[in-house]
Amino acid sequence: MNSTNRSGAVHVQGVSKRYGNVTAIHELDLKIEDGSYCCLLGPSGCGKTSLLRMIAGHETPTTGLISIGSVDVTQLAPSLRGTAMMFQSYALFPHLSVADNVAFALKMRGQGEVERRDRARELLTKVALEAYADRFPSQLSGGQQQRVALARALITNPKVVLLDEPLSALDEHLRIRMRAELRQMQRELGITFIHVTHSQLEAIALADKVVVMTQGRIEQAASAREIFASPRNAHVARFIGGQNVIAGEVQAVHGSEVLLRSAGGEQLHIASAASQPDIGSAAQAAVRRDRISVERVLPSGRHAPDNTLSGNVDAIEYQGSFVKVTVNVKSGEEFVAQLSDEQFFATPLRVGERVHVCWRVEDSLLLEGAPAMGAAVASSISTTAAPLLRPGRVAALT
Amino acid sequence: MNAVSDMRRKSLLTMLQAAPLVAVLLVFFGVPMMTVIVVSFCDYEHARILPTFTFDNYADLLRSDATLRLYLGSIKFTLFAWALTLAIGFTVAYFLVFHVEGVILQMSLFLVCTIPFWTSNIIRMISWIPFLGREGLFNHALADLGVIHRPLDFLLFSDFSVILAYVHLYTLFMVVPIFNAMARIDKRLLEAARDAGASRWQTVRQVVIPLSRTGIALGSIFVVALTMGDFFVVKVMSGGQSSSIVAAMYNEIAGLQFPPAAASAVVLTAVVMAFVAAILRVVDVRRELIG
Amino acid sequence: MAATLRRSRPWTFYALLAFFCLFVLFLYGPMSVIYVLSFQSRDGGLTFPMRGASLHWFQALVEQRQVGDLHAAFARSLSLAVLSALLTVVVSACAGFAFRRGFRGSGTVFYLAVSSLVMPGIFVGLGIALTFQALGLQASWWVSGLAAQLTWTLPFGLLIMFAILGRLDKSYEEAAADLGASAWQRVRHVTLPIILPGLIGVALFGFTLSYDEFPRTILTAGSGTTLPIEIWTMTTNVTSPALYAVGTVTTVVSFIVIACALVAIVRIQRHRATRRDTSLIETKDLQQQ
Repeated sequence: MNSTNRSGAVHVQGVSKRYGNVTAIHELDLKIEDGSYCCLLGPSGCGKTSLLRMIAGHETPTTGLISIGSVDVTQLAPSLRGTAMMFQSYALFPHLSVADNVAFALKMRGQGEVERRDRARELLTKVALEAYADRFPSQLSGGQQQRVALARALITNPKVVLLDEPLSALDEHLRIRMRAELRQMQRELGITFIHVTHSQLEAIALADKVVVMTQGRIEQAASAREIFASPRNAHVARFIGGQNVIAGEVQAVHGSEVLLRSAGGEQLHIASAASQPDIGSAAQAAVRRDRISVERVLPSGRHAPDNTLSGNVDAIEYQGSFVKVTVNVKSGEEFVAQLSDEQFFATPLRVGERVHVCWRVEDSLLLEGAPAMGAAVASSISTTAAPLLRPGRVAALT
Repeated sequence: MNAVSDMRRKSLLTMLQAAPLVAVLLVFFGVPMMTVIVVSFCDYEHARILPTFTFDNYADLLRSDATLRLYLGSIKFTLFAWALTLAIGFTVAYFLVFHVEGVILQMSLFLVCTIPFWTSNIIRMISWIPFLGREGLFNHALADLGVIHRPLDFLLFSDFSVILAYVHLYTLFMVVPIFNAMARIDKRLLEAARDAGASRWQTVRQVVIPLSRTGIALGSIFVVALTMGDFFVVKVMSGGQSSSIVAAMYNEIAGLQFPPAAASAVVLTAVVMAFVAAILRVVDVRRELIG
Repeated sequence: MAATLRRSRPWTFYALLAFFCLFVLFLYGPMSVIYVLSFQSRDGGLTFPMRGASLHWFQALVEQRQVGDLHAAFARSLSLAVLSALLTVVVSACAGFAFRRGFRGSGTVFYLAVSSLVMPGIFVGLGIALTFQALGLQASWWVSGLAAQLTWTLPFGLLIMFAILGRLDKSYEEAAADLGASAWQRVRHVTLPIILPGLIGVALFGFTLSYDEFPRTILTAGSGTTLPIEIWTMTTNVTSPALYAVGTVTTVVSFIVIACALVAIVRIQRHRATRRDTSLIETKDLQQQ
């Protein structure tokens, strides 16, 4: 391995993963820049962990190429790739002390005990756990275990650190704090971090690049801002949250604006990036939830908004700094307006009231792809709930 | 490093790891069983086995009244032993899993139950003799308490003592698998049942028993195999009054009459296997074990 | 209404507790009779009453002429037990790992093992004896006897390995690989240390199952008898409490072995300081920072 090439840029080309006739991951292409923080985001079963493990080398792709730096690592063993993985369960060796856990990789390489100990202490100091060097993993809290796992991964000076849902096992407060620590660590070290998560908020808070995946495909790989503000298709829009999805028929195309006729017959003016959809084709649009105003009286005249839909208030949910108002606009999907608490409590709405939701053209976006047949309840979050009382399943719980 | 040859090397290594077990089982179990089957079809003359094929051994065995008597007797013992060990084993396991708090205490009490199992079966069996005999401790105690005026005869060297010994020796084989199966049950299921209004007994019947059926099946397989295949318990504890299938077979072996003994072995094995298969049909043990 | 933490115990607890105590009494009671009777005085008989206490019958054991081949049988039993323990651990551990990875025909091997376990011991013994005879080999305690015992201990070992390996998290081995451990290093530094308590358990099973094994061994031990066989012969023709003394001694040996194994396991676990409740540590961690 070329030691002068310290680049941790990861390039995934045409990678797929098949188990028998089940395809877990369809041909993927992905480029991750050296020294960036990348989050693989998606619901359970979307393939994000598989992809991570293939980059790590714990699983082999069925087809395709993976390179790190400019080295093809597809057939290389995990320890030869310059990667280090942090497992979801941390996988700290229960029979070794914290220091021995951290120094493990060095022991495997045959380094002397004094050197190992010193280096381990260095890293433990970095994660603020020096005082716990001689404790055992079972004596540490979740947050502490995670930091030991990180220290253990970093001791080999990897170019890429792979984290498999590192924050899932922690409770809310700890999660937010550890998030910041991870980001800071990555900035300090300047190496590539690839982090798998199913939490949208976590992904957009941490990542330079967010890769949204569903069912073995990459829906969109872009900066957090782009994913949130300009989702590419309905899957991304729904999963990231913060956007409503409306289906309709294309009536006309005027430059960078598209006229869409909604299911209820309303005319909507939607911004379209540069696409030229066919007249008469079915299309979908995203509308930012926090850029919607809710009116009791239909505004008209010169200050009439670009887009209006009417309906009854279905639900109101208080969220502290904002209030979620769900309105039934007969689009077949949930339509939510997020009002700041000041806005809402100025003239509070009531469930059942008839209101008009309005937004400007620039706050909506035409999405790629046609709506699915029977666009009704879209659940991009797949639920695999095993029936609790099926005996075999329960008996298998250890 | 080629991924395909790596995989091939791995599967070869895996086969090698399993090889010693397979070798021992095939050579010292598979082959001997084949030998027994072969010998059962052989003719014999005094102590010598003649390599001629004959059904005589089986014919004699199946036509004989003694055989039927022995089988019925053994099956009777087996059924009683099975029922009692199941009832006791289940109750003990239930107590340990659901009523004892703290894993350490649970494990300690579990150990307390299993340790006798690790001492010689023969010793444990004969330890009942001074206890149950006419001059034994039990009779003395009852007489001292004034409960009885004459020593109880049926306690020893009877069907009662045989079944008692079986229960004493083999209940553990019920407790362990049932304990293991029960320990895996999510306790919240019981709470959910109670919330839904189930009485304690209903909860046991509807939730606990179905979820521990692997343990019950395993325990039953053990107990049935052990009691049907026993020969020293019946011999000693019945005082020679009853015999068991295996005891009769043992006599034939002692008389160097191997072919009939072999035929007897094959028939008994078939019967035991039928029991086991019936149990396995109800519960798929392998899936539960390996997962 | 949701069930709250019950501090008072239901009546069923006491009923079951009583049942449990009776059960334990039932298990240990008769044996205690033997222990007591083995201290029977010189003129005492096989049953109560005790005519004073003495070590007479233990002494009788030591004197060779009164108890036949007992010393040699004892030595053979111990050797077989140790051999069984070692072989059982090694073979079942290897096989257990093979099953974990999965291989062709693993189903058949599983059923073969279970059959070997379930088959009445006397048949296995018969089969091995006949096979040896057919091949013109002499049955001996350390070949055919050991082999017969292995057909009994190995399946048990295998089942225990299933339980142990089922609980073994795959991520430990993956983490080790990730950190640069070769296959052998993984086994030596990670897998084996983690399952060590379990392996001690397997060895313990191998030892005690072999030490007390009777039906399989009786037909395959040849002329070199083991302790259980000697005890069996004694039950039919010994008319003194020497039999009880033997029972006590052999039980004590079993107990010592079990105790050693348990102490070893407890010490290993304690060294790794397994604590059940980490929630206290969580809140403390938050407060500190």
